[in-house]
Amino acid sequence: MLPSLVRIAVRNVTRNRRRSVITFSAIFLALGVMVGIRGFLNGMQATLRESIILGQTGALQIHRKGFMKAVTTSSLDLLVPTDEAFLQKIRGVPGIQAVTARIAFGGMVNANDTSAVAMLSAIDPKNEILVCPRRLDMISSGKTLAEGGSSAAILTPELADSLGVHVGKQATILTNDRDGVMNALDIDYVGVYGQPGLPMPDKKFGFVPLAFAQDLLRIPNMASEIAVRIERFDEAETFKPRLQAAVGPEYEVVTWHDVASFIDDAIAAQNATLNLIGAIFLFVALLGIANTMLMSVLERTREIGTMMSVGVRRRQILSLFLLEAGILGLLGGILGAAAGSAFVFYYGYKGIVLKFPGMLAPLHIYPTVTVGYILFVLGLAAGGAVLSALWPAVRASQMRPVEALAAV
Amino acid sequence: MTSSAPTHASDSQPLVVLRSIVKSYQLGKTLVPALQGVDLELHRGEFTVVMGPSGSGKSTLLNIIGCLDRPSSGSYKFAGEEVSDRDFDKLAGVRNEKIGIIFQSFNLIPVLNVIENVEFPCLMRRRREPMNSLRERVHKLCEDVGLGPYVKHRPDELSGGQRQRVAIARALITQPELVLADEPTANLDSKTSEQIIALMQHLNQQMGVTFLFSTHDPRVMQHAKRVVYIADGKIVDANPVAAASGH
Repeated sequence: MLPSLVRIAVRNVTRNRRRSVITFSAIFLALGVMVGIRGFLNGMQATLRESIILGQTGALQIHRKGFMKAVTTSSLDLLVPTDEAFLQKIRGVPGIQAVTARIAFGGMVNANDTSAVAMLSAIDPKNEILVCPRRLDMISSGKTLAEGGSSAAILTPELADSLGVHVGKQATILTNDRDGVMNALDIDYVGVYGQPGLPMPDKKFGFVPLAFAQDLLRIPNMASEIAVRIERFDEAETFKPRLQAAVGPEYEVVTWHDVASFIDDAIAAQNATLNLIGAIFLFVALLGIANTMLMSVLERTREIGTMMSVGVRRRQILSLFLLEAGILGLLGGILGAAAGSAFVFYYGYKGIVLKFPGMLAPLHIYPTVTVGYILFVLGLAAGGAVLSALWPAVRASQMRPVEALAAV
Repeated sequence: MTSSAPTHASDSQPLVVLRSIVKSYQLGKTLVPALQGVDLELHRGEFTVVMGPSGSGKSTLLNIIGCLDRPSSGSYKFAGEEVSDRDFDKLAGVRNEKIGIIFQSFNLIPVLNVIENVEFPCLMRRRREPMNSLRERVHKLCEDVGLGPYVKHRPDELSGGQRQRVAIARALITQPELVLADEPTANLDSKTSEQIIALMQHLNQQMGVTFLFSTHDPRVMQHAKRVVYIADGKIVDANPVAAASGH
């Protein structure tokens, strides 16, 4: 029974070619756009994640317990050791690729009789690049910390400008040590971090070597955080308990999700936008299917009567029209998803290079899409098509044979 | 044509028994009576014509006998079973298995070719016969009604007479007990009409299929063994023209 109905359904779909092509095109376009945009967004979100994880946070971080909640406390009250024995515990967890220590602190930077309050980050020049290699992308001119020597500093243009210093000049950092005693050390301004106008969390910001900061803050072999690199960022959650077990309960392990939750928020916002756009496209396409099926029912009323006259049951009439809609949705969906996937795979291989004004390094976006998403949108198209045809199909199946046969 | 007459459990019992059949249609606020107390019996093997002027109730009568519509009141027994109170799907089963219907405007399914149109009612059955056996019967029936060379053609590639032959084959493929034909020659030229009438008469005689026509065509009436006259929704005369075949 079903093969016979499928045969009729397929032929009916090709019966009014122009109308079927228009309906089919709407589904094709909707699915193509959905898969294409999904692929592009996946690529962009991966780039965003990478730029934050490989440029700032690392995949996981280890702090002294309570550090994440103690926003009002001085970061110097909650420190982690950076001695080899402690770092070795972390490196000993299978899958850990690199480990680096950091100190975040605030201070006054002086030069040319001018002072500016700045946020400073002390990093281990050698290991930081292994955990966050994208740091280097942000140095717009001058040297890196590794090249600059033990008292090198990299400052944002805003901080350097406010002090009136140029690369090659010296300045002084003045800050309280862990015990609240004032201390000061000279820095050599060797490199520029970022460019004027580039959106940064802190305009007045600078990097100094870890050992320099440990001297300045009088906290030898201590840091405020240890950042860790792993192969796959999406496995960070699985590394969390392993690292926690390795370092012990007096420390807390957090992932990039916890540190940079704004990434997840941004991704969620992008996904919501995509879903809305996709839903609008699909809704319009499905309206087309509903219209096509309604027209089809009106045009074929006599034919429905004929089918009923030879003993076709209501359920079979319903199935026939739903099948026709399903075929339209699935076929348009398959070709649309294939076109969208072709776009994604081509640019996934070739890459899309985006360069915005003020950006130091162009963004390389590699679109990707999962088979699961393609199957999901295909199911949505076919299922939506069947649902949108439900009313016309029910209308067809509820006709009385004698009335259907009398239709002109 | 080499077909044997279908055998039935009780050939002496009338195939169709209508008692006090009333059918009214609601047109706006007006109740329009189409049939007003019709009593009729049809026996197996009859070749009966229903005649009457336009609006007399011929088509309504055929629709009720063909289970395409249900009477407003009265009793309709088909092969001894009351069918007037059956629901749509049960009536669909009766149409599919026991009644073949031939329409004035052929009513073929345009996307199916001749073979597919003819076999279609059998494919819609819950219990289907094997495809090989069905196709064999379809081909034979197509040969019998003179469609041999056209079995792969679609309806729009056939003449009116050929289309009506397809409709006849489709009505017969289910081996029905009754074939209804609603003005089957109205859309055909005189020569083709003669051929179609001759074909149906032949099928009636050879296969013993019971035929009931509605028509205005006097040529059809000439071949009828019994003529039922209907006017204003009532049967005014139902005398046999000649003894019905087999009775």
